[in-house]
Amino acid sequence: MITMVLKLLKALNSEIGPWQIAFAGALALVIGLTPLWSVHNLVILLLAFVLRVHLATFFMFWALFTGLAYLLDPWFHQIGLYWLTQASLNETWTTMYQQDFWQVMHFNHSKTLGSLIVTVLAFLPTALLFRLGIIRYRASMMPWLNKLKVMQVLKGSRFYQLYERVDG
Amino acid sequence: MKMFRWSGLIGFVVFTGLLALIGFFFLDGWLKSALESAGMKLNGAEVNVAKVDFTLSPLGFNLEGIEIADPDKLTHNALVLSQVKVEINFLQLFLGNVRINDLVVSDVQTDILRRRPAQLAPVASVPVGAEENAVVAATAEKAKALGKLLPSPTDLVSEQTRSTRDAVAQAQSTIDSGRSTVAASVNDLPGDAALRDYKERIAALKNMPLDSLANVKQSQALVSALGSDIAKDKIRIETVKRSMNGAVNDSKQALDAILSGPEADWAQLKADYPLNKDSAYKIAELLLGEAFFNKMNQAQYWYAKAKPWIARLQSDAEPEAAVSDRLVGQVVRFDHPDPTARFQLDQSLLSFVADQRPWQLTVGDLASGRTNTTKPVLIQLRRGDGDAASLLVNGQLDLIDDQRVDTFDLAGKGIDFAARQINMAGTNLAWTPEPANVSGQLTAVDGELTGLVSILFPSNRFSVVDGGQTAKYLQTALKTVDEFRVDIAVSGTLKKPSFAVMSDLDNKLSAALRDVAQAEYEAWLSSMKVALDAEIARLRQPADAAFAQLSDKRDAVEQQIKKFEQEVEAEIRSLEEQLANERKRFERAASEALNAAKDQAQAELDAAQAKVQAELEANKAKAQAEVDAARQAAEAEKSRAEAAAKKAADDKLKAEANKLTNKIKF
Repeated sequence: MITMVLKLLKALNSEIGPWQIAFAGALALVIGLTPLWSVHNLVILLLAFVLRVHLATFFMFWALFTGLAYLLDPWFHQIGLYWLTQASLNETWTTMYQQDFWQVMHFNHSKTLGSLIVTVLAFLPTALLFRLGIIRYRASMMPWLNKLKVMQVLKGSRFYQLYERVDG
Repeated sequence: MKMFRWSGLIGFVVFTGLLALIGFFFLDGWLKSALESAGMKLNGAEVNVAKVDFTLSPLGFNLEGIEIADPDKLTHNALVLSQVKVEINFLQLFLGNVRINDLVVSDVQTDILRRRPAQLAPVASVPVGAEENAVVAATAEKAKALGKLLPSPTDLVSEQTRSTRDAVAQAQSTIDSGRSTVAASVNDLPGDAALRDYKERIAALKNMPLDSLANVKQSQALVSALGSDIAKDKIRIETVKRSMNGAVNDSKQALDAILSGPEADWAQLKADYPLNKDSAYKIAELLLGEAFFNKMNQAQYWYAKAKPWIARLQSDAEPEAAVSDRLVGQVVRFDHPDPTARFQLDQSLLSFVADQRPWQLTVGDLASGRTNTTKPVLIQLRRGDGDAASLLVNGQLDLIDDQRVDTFDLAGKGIDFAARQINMAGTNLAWTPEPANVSGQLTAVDGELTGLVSILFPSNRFSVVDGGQTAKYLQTALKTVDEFRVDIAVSGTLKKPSFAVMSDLDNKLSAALRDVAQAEYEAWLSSMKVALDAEIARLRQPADAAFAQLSDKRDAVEQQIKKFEQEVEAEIRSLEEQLANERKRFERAASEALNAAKDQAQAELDAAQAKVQAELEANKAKAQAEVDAARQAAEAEKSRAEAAAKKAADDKLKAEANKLTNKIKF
């Protein structure tokens, strides 16, 4: 975990593109907040590996959002159940229920549907927010942080130098 | 900036490829080992699978050369399946359901010799069906009973006179007891000495003078004492007579009971060796019995094997959710025309060869956790190819109003029944039936079975293999039986079915037997009756002799009593009569004297009474005169006294008046 935090800090402080970090966070949002053993998470994992997103950021935020999911699960459940019990959508759900593919997707599971809808809707705003945050950080916060004695002590520590050497 | 991370894409492809390669090269072996291991554990003996192929399209398995060893006979395979093709619904596996779209099992064989003996599983299961079938045992018992039909009377006469023997023994005991009672009673009778004593006392009484009442009364007292002694003896005689008659009556009843013994023996004989509808019915049971119940044993054996799997099918509980702190959520279900159960078999075909004919078992829509809306399970068992099916069993397993309703329709023609040999009435009988026709319907509601299966044997040949008591007429009777029908009524439960075999063979055979065997049976009964009567007469002889002796003894005792009564009682009665007459005479004379004395006393009494009356009258008149005189004197005295008193009073009054006058004057 410490390694991933250091990698994140390094990425934030490096020349890595803000979109790479932002999409890593947005993908982590989906896999972290939705139930892990869902088929759509295979797609998220595949995207995380195939697209050039920052993997350390992805894994760190995955863990972070999984923790957050414990708090948000009741809300996801309510949202999913609301949608699944809407009379106007009943025909759609019933049609989807006839196909094994959609049953495998667990669309009729309240928490899965609720969390997926929320995370898909929040995907782009999250990515944009991440990107904006990174740009702001690099422009204003990073120089100030680098001047802090704590940061200088941390960068001067043998552990950090060892990490720098191993990580290349 | 490049958008794709090619290394990641390549890694993903490599990972997937590796999975596929592992599956391709190793999955078959893993499946083979798993099947053999799990099969051995379930079966209790070795299960071998020659080849396993995992196929992607359609997704499933192709198994070849499956050998399931018989745990009770390790040199043989209980089942050999040449090929098993399984087609599985891949996506349903992700939902935790096992849905087999198609299952084809080809060329099933049973009881096949193994190349090498099988190994037993470490924990051998208890062989099911090894226990003795009670129904088969009952059938064997019936066969044994039928084998007893019509043996030789000489052999039977000793066995079949048990009741008579018991009755004779009882009668003998009663008669012996009666003889003892009579013998003891005789000792209580008055003997010759007593008789002599009575005679002497009577002679003495006869010689007594009867010239006075006192003598008569003394004679009467003696006669009375003699009568009292005789009465005591008579009471003893009556007691003896009563006990003697009781003993004789008991002996008579015991002898009568001997007569009912042969009747019971005769009835028992007819019950043990009947020639009726029931015995003919038993023949029908015997004809089908052994093969039928052997099949039932096999069915129960395989049912026990399949029982754990059936139990799993019936239980369709949701698997327990993994332990998690996160909210589980809720699965919303929608209408589905064909919802998948935890286990579902859409279609299966099992083909095998038995009785040198091809058989096919088709099962469709088999699903666990059946509900009222689930499609019924369809089962079809076919013997023969295509339209030329010689046996067709259509089954439907349904759930209606939460009740399991399973129905099976049977229709078959030209069903072969093997020739068989049975022992009937001590005769070995060979039965060669022509192919039979089968029809019927079985229904099981919540495991409770009802139904009727009819088997029509259009042509039959019976022949008697060897000799026997009934061989001759049985042979003749069976020749006339051609077509007959056997109905099997099924009841009980699926786990423990019971069968009642009915047949019109009983009517046909009994009709034939009635004509042919009636004479033989009557002859046998007649000879049996003669033998039985002779035996009974022999058995009765000692009892009859003893009773005759008892009767003679009683007669002798009665004769003795009669003699006593004649010689003693008659004399006594005569004496009593004479004394009574004498007494009457004396009493009459005394009575006349008494009356004369009474008359004289009465006359004297009347005279005395008249004299007393006259004196009383005289005294009365004299007294009255004295009373009158006295009254007159008293009245004169009274007058004189009154005058004196008056004068005295006047004097006194004058004196007083004078005194007062003097005073006044003063």
